Parts: sequence; C-alpha cells; structure tokens
Amino acid sequence: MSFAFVLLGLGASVGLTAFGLVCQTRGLKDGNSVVVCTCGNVSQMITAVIFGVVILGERLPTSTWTALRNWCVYTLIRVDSHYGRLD
Amino acid sequence: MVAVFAVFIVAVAASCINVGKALQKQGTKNLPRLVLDPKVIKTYLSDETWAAGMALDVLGGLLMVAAIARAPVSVVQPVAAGGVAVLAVYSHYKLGETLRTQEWVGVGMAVCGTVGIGFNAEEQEPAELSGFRYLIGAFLVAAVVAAPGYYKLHATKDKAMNRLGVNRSGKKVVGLVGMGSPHHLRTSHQVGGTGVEGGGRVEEVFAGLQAGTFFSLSALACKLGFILGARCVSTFISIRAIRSTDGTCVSCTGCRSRSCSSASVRPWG
Repeated sequence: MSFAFVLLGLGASVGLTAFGLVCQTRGLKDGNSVVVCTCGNVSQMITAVIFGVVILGERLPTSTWTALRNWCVYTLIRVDSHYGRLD
Repeated sequence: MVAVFAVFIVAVAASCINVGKALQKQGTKNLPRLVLDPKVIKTYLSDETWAAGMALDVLGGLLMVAAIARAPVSVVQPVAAGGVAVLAVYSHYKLGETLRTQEWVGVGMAVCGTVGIGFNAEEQEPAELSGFRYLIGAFLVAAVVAAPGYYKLHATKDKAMNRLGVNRSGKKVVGLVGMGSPHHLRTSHQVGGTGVEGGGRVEEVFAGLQAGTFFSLSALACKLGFILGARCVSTFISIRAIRSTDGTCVSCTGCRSRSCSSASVRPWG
C-alpha cells in the first residue's frame, strides 16, 4: 500500500514533469531561452514555497534573524533571475 | 546536515537541468515545432544534441527526486531556481553568448542565494496532512494551473484589440493605435533568421510560467507520495505491534507515524 503511494506520487511527478517539458520546449523553440527559463524558474520558486507552506505544512524559519536571512536569499535569487534579462 | 546535503544534490541537479535546457535549445534550432505526433517526437529523439540535453534533464530530475525525499519542497525548489546562473555561465563559455557585467553580478547573487539557503536549511518533521489542507491545496493548484492560461487569454485579446485600434469595451480609440503591439507583447526574436515570427513574448512568458508551475507541482506530487507512503508504513507497523500485544485494544484512529506506538496502545481493563 505504501509502495503504491510512492509509485503514484512518482507517476504523477513524471506526468507533470512531461507537461512542463512540453511547455518549456515549445517556449524554447519559439522564443528566447533566457526569458523562458527565467519565467519558469521564478514561477517554480514562488509556487513551490506556497505549496510547501500551505499544502505540506512546511515551516518557514521561526526566528526573526533566520527568517530575514531566508527572505534575503530568496530575493537574491529572484533579483538574479530578473537582472538584465527581461529588458 | 541531511538538509545541507540535499541542497548540494539540488545544486548539482539544477546544473544538469539547466545545461540540459541549453543543449535542448541548441538542438531545437534545426528541428520542427514540437507537437504530440510520433514522427515529430522521433525526429527530436534522433537529434543527438537534443537527446543529450534531454538525458541531462532527466538525470537532473532524478537527483531532484532524491533531494525532495530528504528536504522540504520550500527549500529544494528555490535552490533549483538558482540554476539559471549555471545556464548563464554555460551559455557564456559554450554557446558564445557573452555575459555583461550586470549579468555576472546576477550570477554571483544567485550563487550567494543558493549558499544562503543551504546555510539556513533546517531539518523538519512532516506536518499532519488534514482534509482542510487538501481542500485548500486543490483550490491553490487549480488557481496556479489556470492563471497562466487566463493571463495568455487576456494578453492575446488585448493584442488583437490593439491591432484593430479598439479598447476592451470595443470603442475606437485615437492616438497611437494600430501602430503595433505594446512592448510586453512584441515578438522577442525571429526564428532562425528565416523572417518567420516566433510565438511572441506572451508565448514565451506563458510557456515559462506554465513549465515552472508544472515542475513545482511535480515536486509536490513526489513529496506527497513519499509522505503518504512513509505514513502508511508506520501505521501498518503500529497496527502489527498493537495486535501482537496481549490485553490491549486496537485504537488506530488518527494514528500518526512517530507517536503512534505509544499513544494508541491502551490497556483494556
């Protein structure tokens, strides 16, 4: 039964990744790779944090200092994704 | 320590995935537009560059699964998103796309961010998955899947209206109408210098957003599978332990993985 859950999760994961790859390949074929990858990475990052916290009940850092550091690193990656790329 | 190791695995996986994407991009230059047609798919698979890119992408995906099994999704995915820096460096050295100073700064920031996430990563026990969480999750998933489509529909409508010189309410507008599409809707490049227009920036942004959302959902599905699988194993072990104990009753309602064996075994009389 537990193995079935893992298989189901992996199967769904493979299917969803395939959908993602089709979308991405269409984008890469028609457009600029940097725009496609940047938009993909930003949406991947934001939706993952939302899914993790809301659905899986993952904790964001509790202490103020760690939380601050965490938001700083998220911002660094997001800024990097945007920096000089969508001009 | 496990979380830090997982962050390292994700960094390697993200590198594989992004270099794979670059190779796929290289490969698609001489390939037709991807549609779900066996002939077209065969053409893609027979192209060595594209196939190598896809193989790296799949390897990265497998490593990502290994990392997701060990660390929270909210830690793994931001590190994966930082892989765009690897793509930039690879493009600079291998594809001849020269990076400007500000782009090098961006790469440095992504590396700092990734190291920072590794530094902040904490071990976490899986939370209880209640029906309420599933309900909220279903709405959330539906919303994020539908959002890019909604954006694309409106952007395409605006583009068509702009070309006709009318506003959303259908009235003719004066001024710079019919002079082309606004900046964010412009085609960002032409395909292979053939003079054939690509799908346009809307298409690119839409494709990227949708791909990212599906990758995120993929990680979520994988993690849910692992969590439910682990919970099921521990529940089974607990039930076996309870049944083998004399003078106890089975009380597995709401039985949870770590506290189950002690909490649910109750002496009966």
